[in-house]
Amino acid sequence: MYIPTPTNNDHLLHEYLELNLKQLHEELGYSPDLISRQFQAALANGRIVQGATVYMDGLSSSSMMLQFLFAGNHENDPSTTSAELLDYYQERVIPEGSVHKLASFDELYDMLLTGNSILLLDGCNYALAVGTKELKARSVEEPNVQSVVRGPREGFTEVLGWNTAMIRRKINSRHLWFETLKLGSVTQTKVAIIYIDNLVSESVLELVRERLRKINIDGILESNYIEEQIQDKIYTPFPTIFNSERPDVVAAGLLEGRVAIMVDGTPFALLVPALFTQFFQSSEDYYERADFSTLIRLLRFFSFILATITPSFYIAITTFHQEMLPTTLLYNLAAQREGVPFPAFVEALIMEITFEILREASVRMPKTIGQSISIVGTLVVGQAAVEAGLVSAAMVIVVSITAISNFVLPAFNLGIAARIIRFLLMILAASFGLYGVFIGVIAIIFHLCSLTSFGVSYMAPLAPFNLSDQKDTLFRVPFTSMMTRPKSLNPKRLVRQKKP
Amino acid sequence: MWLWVGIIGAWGWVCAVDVPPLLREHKIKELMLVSLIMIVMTAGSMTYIYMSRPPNPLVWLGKWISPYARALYSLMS
Amino acid sequence: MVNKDMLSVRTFSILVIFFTIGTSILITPAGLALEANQDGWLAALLGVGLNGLMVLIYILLGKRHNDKTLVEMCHAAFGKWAGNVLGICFVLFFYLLAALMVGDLGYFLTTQNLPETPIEVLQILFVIIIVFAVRAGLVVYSRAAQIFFPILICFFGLLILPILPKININNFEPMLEYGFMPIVKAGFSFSGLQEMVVLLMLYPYVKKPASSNGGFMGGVLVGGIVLIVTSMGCIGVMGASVTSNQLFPAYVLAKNISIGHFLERIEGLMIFIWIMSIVMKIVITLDASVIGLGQLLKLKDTKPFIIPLGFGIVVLALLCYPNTIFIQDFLSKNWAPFASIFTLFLPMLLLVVLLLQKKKVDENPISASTEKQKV
Repeated sequence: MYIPTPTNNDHLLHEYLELNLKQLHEELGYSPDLISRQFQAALANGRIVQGATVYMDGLSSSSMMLQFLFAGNHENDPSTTSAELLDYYQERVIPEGSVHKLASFDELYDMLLTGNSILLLDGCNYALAVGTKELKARSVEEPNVQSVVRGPREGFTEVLGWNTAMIRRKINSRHLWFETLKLGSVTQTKVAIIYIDNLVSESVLELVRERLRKINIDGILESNYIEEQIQDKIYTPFPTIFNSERPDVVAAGLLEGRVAIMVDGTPFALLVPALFTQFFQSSEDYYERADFSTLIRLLRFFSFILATITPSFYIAITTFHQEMLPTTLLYNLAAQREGVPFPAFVEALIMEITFEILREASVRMPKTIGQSISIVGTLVVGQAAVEAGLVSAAMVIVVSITAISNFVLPAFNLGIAARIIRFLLMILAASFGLYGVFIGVIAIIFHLCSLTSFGVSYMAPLAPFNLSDQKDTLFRVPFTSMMTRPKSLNPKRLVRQKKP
Repeated sequence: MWLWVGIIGAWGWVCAVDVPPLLREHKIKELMLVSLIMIVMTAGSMTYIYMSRPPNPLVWLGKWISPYARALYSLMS
Repeated sequence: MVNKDMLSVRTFSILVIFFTIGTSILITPAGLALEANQDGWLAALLGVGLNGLMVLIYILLGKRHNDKTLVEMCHAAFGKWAGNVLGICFVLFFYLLAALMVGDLGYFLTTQNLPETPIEVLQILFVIIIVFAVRAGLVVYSRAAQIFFPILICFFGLLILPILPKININNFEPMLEYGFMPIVKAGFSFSGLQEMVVLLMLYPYVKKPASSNGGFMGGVLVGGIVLIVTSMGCIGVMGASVTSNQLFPAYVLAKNISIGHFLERIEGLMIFIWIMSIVMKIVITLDASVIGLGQLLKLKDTKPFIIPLGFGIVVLALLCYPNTIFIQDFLSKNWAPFASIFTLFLPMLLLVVLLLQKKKVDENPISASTEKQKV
C-alpha cells in the first residue's frame, strides 16, 4: 500500500473530513464555484465512512467519476480502513486516466484549481486527485493573423494540452519531447518546452531552460511576457525570437532543430533561435513552387528595403541631390512642391505620423466601420491633403508605397522594426542627405551583425557566410535539393534526406 | 561650434558608458589613462578652435621626412 | 590571444579587399595621371605588384609567427625596450593613418557633396559609426564586411559598366611616351596609399590553416584589380589631363554615368561605395591601434579607450588637414616615402631579425636545451 510522502510539512491534510473541508472553503474565500459533494461509502466490514468530492465548477466535470463511485459494484471491496478504501477506489474503481495521491494542501490547491476533482475520505490523511478536466475554450479555427492561400488552416488555441496534441499529430516521432514548468507566482501558468531530441542543439536547449528558470514574475498572460525576459539582452528594435500561431510553422521549426516554447492561455508559440532571414520566410514558400517562392522571397527582401529607406531617399534627393532626378520628373516635382509650405522632411513626418495613426485606428475599429475607414482614410484624406496644399502628391505616393511594403513582410514584429528605423533614417536624411542615409544604413548593418539569438549569430547564414545554408534564405531550392538542415543552428543531425 | 558639441558628446558618452564599469571594478590605472587621453584630446581641440594657425603635426613630419622623400623620388626620375 | 571567435580565411580576405580599396579608389587616379599621364594604368599595375611584394614579406612574417600581432613581433624580435619603441612608432603610425583618412573623407564630402555642412560635423558623424563598430568587436565588423561585400560588388558594377561604352582608346595612347621612370614613380606613390601593414595586427584572430596566406594575397589582387579598373576607367573616359586635375577622380567618373538617358548624375548613390570601403578601412585601422595600445601598455580590456581615441581622431584630422592644397602637397611629396618606412623597411627589418633569431636557435639546439635544464 503506497502512502505518499508530503512535500510540505506545514500543510498536511487532516484526518478528519470536516476539518479538511472547512480549511478548503476558508482558504478559497468561500468561493461559490467550489462544489463539494458529500457522500457515504461502506467499508467491507460494514462501517460507514463519510467522503466528499470537491471540484471547481466550470473547470471540471466529475459526473463519470461519481457515477462509478455510486452506481458501481463494490462487492470485491477488501478495505477495512478508509485509507484502504481510497486505494481500492484508485486501483479498481475510478475509470479516469490520471489519478494521483496527494497529502498536502499545496498539492491539493494545485490540482483543484487546474480542473481536477479531489476525493476525500474521513479518517484518511491523504486524498485522491482525479483528472476530470472539461474546459470551455475556443475551438480550433483558422488563424487570422497568419493566413495562407494553400496549406493547413488550423491554428493554435488557448489550451496548452490541445496545442501540444496538434504538434504531436504533425510529428509522430518518438523523439518529440516535452518539458513543462509553471511560471508566474500568482498565475501558475503552464509553459511547455518542445523539441525533437535527436535533432536539437543542446546548447540552445540548455540556454532556454536556464533563462526560463530565471523568470520571476507574478503573472504570465501571453508569450510576450516570456519573450521579453528570455531574449538576448540587447536593446534592439529587431525581434530575436520568432512567434507563430500555426502548428505547421512550429513543426517545421522543430524539424530544423529549433526549440518551441508554448504558453497556456495564448495561441502564439515561440521558436528559438530566430535568425534575421527567418522573418522573411512564410510557410507558404514551401507549399508553392520553388521558383515562384524564390521570386516572392526576393520581393519580400526588396519590400523591407523599400519600407525602410523610401521616405528617407525621397527627402534626401529632393532636398540635397536634385540632380539625380530625370529632368521631366524634376519639373513635375518642383511644380508640386511650389505650393507646399513645408520642407520635404516636415511633409514626410506629417504624412508618416498620419498614416501610423490611421493604421492604429483601423486595428481597433469594429469590423463594419473598419472597411470604410481604410478607404476613406487613405484615398480621401490623402487626396484632400494634396488639394489643400498641405503635402505634395508625390509624398502621398511615397508614404503609400512605404506602408504597403510594410505589409508584405510575413512577420509582424519585423514590420515594427522597419517602422521604427524609418523615422531615424528620415531624420538623418533631412540633416545630411544621402550621406546621412548611408551612414544610417551602415550603422543598422553593424547593429544587426552584433545581435545574437540564443548563441547563434543573428545574421547567419548571410554573415558568417555559409554556402550550403543559402539554399533556403534568399532562394528556396526545390525539395529534391534540400539535403541538409541549416548548419547555423548546429543540429545534431545535419542530413535531412539522401540522394535517391 | 559643432566641435563643442562633439567634445561634450564625447565626454558624455565616455562618462555614461565606460566610467561606471571602471569605477565598479576599481581599475584606477585605466581610469587615469582614459581621462588623460580625453584631456589631451580636449586640449588639442581647444587649440584648433582658438588658435588662428593651430600647430600641424604633418608640418613637423614634413620637416623630418622631406629630405629623405626628395632623395627617394630623385632616384626614380 | 586565442579565442574561439576566429575569422575564417575567407572573411580575412574580404577585409583585405576592403582595406586595399579603402581611400585609394577615390584619390589614386589623380596622382597616377599626374605623374604618368596616360600610362597611369600601367603605373597602377606596377603599384599593385609592389603591394604584392610587400604582402609577401607580411606572409613570410606570418608563417612563423602566426599568433602574434605586429607589436608582439616587435617585442619578440627586439626585446622589451626597443620592441616597445618600435611598437609605439607603429601604433602612432596607425593612429595618424586613421586620422588622415577621416580627414580625407571629410574633405571629400565637404567639397563635392554637402558643401554647406561644417566639416567637423561630417567627421564626427563618421567617427561615431566607427567607434560603435570597433566597440562591437572584430567578429561583428567582419560579419558586417561579409554583408557589405556583395553590395560593394553591385555598386561597383553599376559604376563601371555604364561608363565602359564611353571609354576612348585614344586616351591611352601613346603608351610609354615618357619612358619607364614616370611609371615607376607613380607606381611607388600609388603603393604608399594602401598601407597593408595594418592588417598584420589581426593575424592572431585568423584561423590557423594557411593563416591568411592565400587569403591575404588573393585579397590584395582582387582589391588591386578594382583599383586598376577604376584608374583605367578614369583615364579612358576623361583623359589624363582632366583626371590629374581632380581631387577625387572616381567621383567625377561617377558623374559620367548615364543609363538609358534617364538615370543620370547618380554619383550621390556611388558615394556608398566609398563610404563603405573607407568605413571598413578606418575601423580596421582604429582597431589595430587600439589593440596595439593594449599590448604596449599590457592592458587586459581596451574597450574604454575606444571613445577617447576616436574623439582624438577627429581632432587630429582637423589639425592635420587645414586645406586641400596642403593635402595635395603632402600626399604627393611626402606620404609615400613616409609610409614606405613603415610598410616596407621596418617589416623587412623585422623579418631579417626574426629569421636570424630562428637561425640562432636552430644552430645551437644543445646549448638551448642545457639552459632550459639549468632553470
